[in-house]
Amino acid sequence: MNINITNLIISVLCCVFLCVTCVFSMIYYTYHYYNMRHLQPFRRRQPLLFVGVSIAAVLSCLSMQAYLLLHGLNWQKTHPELLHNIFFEWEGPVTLYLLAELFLIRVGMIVFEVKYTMYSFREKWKSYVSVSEEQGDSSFYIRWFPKLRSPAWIALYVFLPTFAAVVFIHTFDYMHNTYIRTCNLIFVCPYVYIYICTYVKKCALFREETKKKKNRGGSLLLQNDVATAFDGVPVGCYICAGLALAWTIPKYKDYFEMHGELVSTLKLALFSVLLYFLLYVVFAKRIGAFVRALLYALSYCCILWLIVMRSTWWIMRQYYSCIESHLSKTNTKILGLFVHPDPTSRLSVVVAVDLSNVLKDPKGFELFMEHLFSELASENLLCYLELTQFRQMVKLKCERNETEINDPLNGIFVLSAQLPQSSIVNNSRWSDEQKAITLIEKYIIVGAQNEVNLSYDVKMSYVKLFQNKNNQTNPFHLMSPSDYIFLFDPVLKEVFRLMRDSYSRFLTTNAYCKYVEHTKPRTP
Amino acid sequence: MGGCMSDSQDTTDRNVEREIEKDKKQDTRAHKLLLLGAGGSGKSTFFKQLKAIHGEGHNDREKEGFKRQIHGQVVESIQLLIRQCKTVTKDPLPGIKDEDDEPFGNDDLDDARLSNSLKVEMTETEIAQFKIAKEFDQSCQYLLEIHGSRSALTEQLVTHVKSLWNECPAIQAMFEHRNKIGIPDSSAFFFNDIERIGRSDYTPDHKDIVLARYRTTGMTEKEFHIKDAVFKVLDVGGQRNERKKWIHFFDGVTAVLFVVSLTCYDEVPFEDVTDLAADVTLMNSMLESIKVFEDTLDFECFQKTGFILFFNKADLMQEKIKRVPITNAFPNYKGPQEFKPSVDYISKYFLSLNRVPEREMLLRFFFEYVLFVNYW
Repeated sequence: MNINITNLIISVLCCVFLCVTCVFSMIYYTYHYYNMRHLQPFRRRQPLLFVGVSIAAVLSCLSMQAYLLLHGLNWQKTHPELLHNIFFEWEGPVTLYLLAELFLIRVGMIVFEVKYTMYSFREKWKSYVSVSEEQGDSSFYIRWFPKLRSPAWIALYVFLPTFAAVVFIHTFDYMHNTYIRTCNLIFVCPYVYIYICTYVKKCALFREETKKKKNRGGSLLLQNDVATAFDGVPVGCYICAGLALAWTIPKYKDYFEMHGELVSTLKLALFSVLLYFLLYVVFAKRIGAFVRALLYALSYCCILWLIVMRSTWWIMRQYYSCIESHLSKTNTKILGLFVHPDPTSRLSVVVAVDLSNVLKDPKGFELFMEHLFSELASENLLCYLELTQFRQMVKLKCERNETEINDPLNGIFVLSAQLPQSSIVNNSRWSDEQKAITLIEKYIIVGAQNEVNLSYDVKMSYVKLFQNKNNQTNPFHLMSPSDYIFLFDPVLKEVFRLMRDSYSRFLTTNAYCKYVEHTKPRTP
Repeated sequence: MGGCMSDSQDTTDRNVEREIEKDKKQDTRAHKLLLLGAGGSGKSTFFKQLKAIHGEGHNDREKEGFKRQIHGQVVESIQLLIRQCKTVTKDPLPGIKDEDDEPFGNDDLDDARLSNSLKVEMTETEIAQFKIAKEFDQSCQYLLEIHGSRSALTEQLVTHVKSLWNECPAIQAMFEHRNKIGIPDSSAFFFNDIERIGRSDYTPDHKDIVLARYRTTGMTEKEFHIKDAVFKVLDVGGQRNERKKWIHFFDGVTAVLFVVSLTCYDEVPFEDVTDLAADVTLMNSMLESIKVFEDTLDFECFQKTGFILFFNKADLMQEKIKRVPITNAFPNYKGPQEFKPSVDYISKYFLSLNRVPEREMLLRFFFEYVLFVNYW
């Protein structure tokens, strides 16, 4: 056997280098993860998965080294193209494909999580007011979110089929890579592929250069270049879809480092392209084949390590603060992220500083509602919503009957019709009296479900009404239909006053700043 | 190999790492303090003072909010005073058709309330002192027509309030009974300064902000950095329905700051009257405070938590003790009707409620309008 001592030594050195760096960084990042574990939400074990991924990455690196060690002893003679093949022919398309898919899925998950948070909040507060909410597109998010968030589901239904399909196609192509394929299949779960050799596929641009030197037949399905182009189409589609999705992520802060990750991947790719260019084109004649391959392998390993570790770290960081805790930490309101300029907004004329104006606008109403939820004072606005709707409903009824109404508070307690309609107020089977009693029961009486912090005076007058409702002198019978309009005015005033304090804090939030910015007229 | 990473990438990475480290440290270092107490005991006042002294103070937007609060308080207080005077003297309200004519509005209630507190012990001549003279009719009518939520003080409004407050003896007489009709003490301060407050370029100063009164609903959280320690203080509402929400904050509390108003022993509580038949005179805010304190002590998760008792409004107490003895709330008190022994008795009483001897209990007094520095 023709043993090349230099090759052997260099291969062993490579192994040692990899082991030391990878293991060291593994320990470092695992330590970080370990330190953060108490901050992890209870049921989230995903970061562990990514630690597993990095372990698998190290193993796969080692397996490649083992391969180099085994065949490197006399590789120049027996397998002149092997090392090259490892990096270009087989793994390139697979990794490219999976990477693009992962990119798409990650972006999709982030978009989903953000929208899910928003819709689940909406569903929650609307359910306090109206029961019969038709199932719109929001239920779609609610239904699919848990699945999409589970890595197991994604691995099982997205990555494995893709992987299998790609493997199937390429198995017919290069039969002589069986060993490395087996190695990778054993050690590497689909996730690893995403992080391994990101830069390699970029080198595909330079493949034609190498293509000239060799002529390797045996592709059963497609010619090499055609196969690459064929692979490229879905990859391009994936990346485009991912970018389009990423566009919908609110740009308050590139919290998820999508930008950073993309840029660093691009940089690495450019770097490897440059390296490849130098090694195989510029210095091709001056450097021996072995040194070339060695340099390439070394750089490959280093870059691989960087990518795996950085990405793992990023993902850990993302889970360290999941979206909800991140939002609460930065005092960001989820609905505030989705404020878009609306040219038809009524507030474009009025400066939206007054609470009553903000409440008249559906978007402002929802933003303020979210703020109150974060301060545990939501019952005030819920009460305001239902009582105002009751007032509007009775008033409308009176106007239809052409009863004369002298409303001193005309135009103050008005809400948009786009807000969810109260199921109590819009219950057609109930009389006004029943509705009023139900509302008192819900918001005013002592111990009520959504008891509002009313002053003693106001509260007692309604408690008295409520207690006398079954007496012979039912106070409700003494009231004319138009009296119902003004029935809750003291409560509305009081609730309005209560909310003023919260409103002064609402004025300092990002969501409000954004809201005012977007409702301002664009051409003053 | 590192050359392929730009510096900015590295710095953002390092920054985030530092941020995470900082968060982690802060999480373990921050002391969570919970401000608890019955309604109207001065939790939010305490919170505002903390914010002004140890926080970064109040910014312009918040001041704008307080300005609205103060204006609202002025308008609502004067309206309440007028309405009370009219009710007591059975003087018909000015002939405007507003929501007060509605048969189930406040008036009924004011009647019911006053019959319990004022009317019973009053003779005809005493009632006569609440009679608002004819010359103020116009002012009264103007003020009653204003809707509280649009409470920007106009020049006209300022003049009306000023003349009523300074020249009408009935309003002053009614104000003496403020503890029974729920008008905050600080309203007098605002009435006296009405000209300054009514100016269009008025911004509330520290004292105005501290004196502004409103019921808190929900919860406010603020972090304070005092020397090296970080305190996360939570301010909550104290009324009965707000107390239901307290349970949400009980996790990981370092200490409970329980605020008791010293002057509340003759004040009628806003709450705890579940039906109209209950005797309002038997119940006062001090008893309510004691009840809330007992309930708080009994919570499972507070068995090892330190308590700091704040006795608030000591300055007002010094005034009040001359007029009203504390036997209203503490019938067993035998000492003299003086400030020192009375307060001693009250604090001892509160401390005796603690049934867990190893629990740390601290006592603090503070004066409502006086800044307190270096309290820790």
